[in-house]
Amino acid sequence: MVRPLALLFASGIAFAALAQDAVPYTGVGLLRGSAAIAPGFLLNAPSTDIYVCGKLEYFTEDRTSFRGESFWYIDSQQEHALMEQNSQIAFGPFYHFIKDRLDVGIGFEPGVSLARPRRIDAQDEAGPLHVVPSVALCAGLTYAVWDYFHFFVDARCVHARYNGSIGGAFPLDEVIIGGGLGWQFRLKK
Amino acid sequence: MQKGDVAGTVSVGGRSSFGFFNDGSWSSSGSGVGGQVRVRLAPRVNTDWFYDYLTAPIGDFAHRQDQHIGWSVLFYLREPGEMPQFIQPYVLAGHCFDYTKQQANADLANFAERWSSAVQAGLGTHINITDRTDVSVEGQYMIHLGTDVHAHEENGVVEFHKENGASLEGHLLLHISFNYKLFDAW
Repeated sequence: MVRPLALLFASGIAFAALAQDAVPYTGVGLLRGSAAIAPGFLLNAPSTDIYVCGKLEYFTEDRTSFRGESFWYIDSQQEHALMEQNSQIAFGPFYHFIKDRLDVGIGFEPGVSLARPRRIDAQDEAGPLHVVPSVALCAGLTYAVWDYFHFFVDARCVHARYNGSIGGAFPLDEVIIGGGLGWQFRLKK
Repeated sequence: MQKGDVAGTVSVGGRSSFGFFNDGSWSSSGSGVGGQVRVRLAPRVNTDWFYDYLTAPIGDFAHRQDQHIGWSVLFYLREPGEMPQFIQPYVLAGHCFDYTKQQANADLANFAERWSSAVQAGLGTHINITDRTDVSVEGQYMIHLGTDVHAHEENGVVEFHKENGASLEGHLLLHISFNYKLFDAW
């Protein structure tokens, strides 16, 4: 069992090494991925949500890419959180301003949140789980530190609104900030 | 002519939608998400095949979900050039089918639903970021033909009324979309 896994791992490294070219940091054919922990600051409530997030981004042209992101809602930092669930997925285009290893990208992402308000007390029922449309304006800064690794900081301003709670609709607008280590591979020369 | 600015181009994308002036005394705006496939039939004529999912509140006692599936024809106001025009405005018109579900906030088993057909027309523009990628902004007015369904609250009880006969219900939609040209089909 160990040998096939080792062979798979070695062949993966070899494939990635062969796929790289002289300028591996950006451009058409580059695939980026990352995983991080990100806080989300609700703009209409004194609440900070905590997400585990992941993203995949593929450059279809030298300066444009398409990015898919997912945000798994863990909980709120506050004891009395607004939401019991607010996980999100989104997908959209980005335009990149590139200077050597530094890349500043801006974009927007239509998406959906799987949202449920928290129950107020033990007798209360939690609100229903709803699919909530969302749109996010995004900006990110990426610095390639090596052929396969980069550091990044991302910020996204999300607009969404939960309809259907007993108290009526309420906004889920928030700013999510994430950062850390990412990976990159060139899939196409 | 550059690839992507000729007839036969097939593109795909996603979009965010904002709906205004939902009918009824509890009119309020909604937002949505969706996607579209575009098939360009001629240099100045494109077609947009779309799906949208929108939600909106009805007062503070109910909410609605709308799903649109339909198509629009886009007529470009500027002659395509050697290169794709950075700004390419267009007029659009088309047809749509709509599924609406209205539910009480306090009791999801209390709901009304309806299918309707619609026509829509509007104005928009592509912003061609590259030969293959564009962001489009468009506004359109959509008129639904179907039975009238509306929510009503009296003494804390939410009731849905489904009237007999036809009803015209309109709303303004604003879409912001992105598109990527996949290939030339012919």
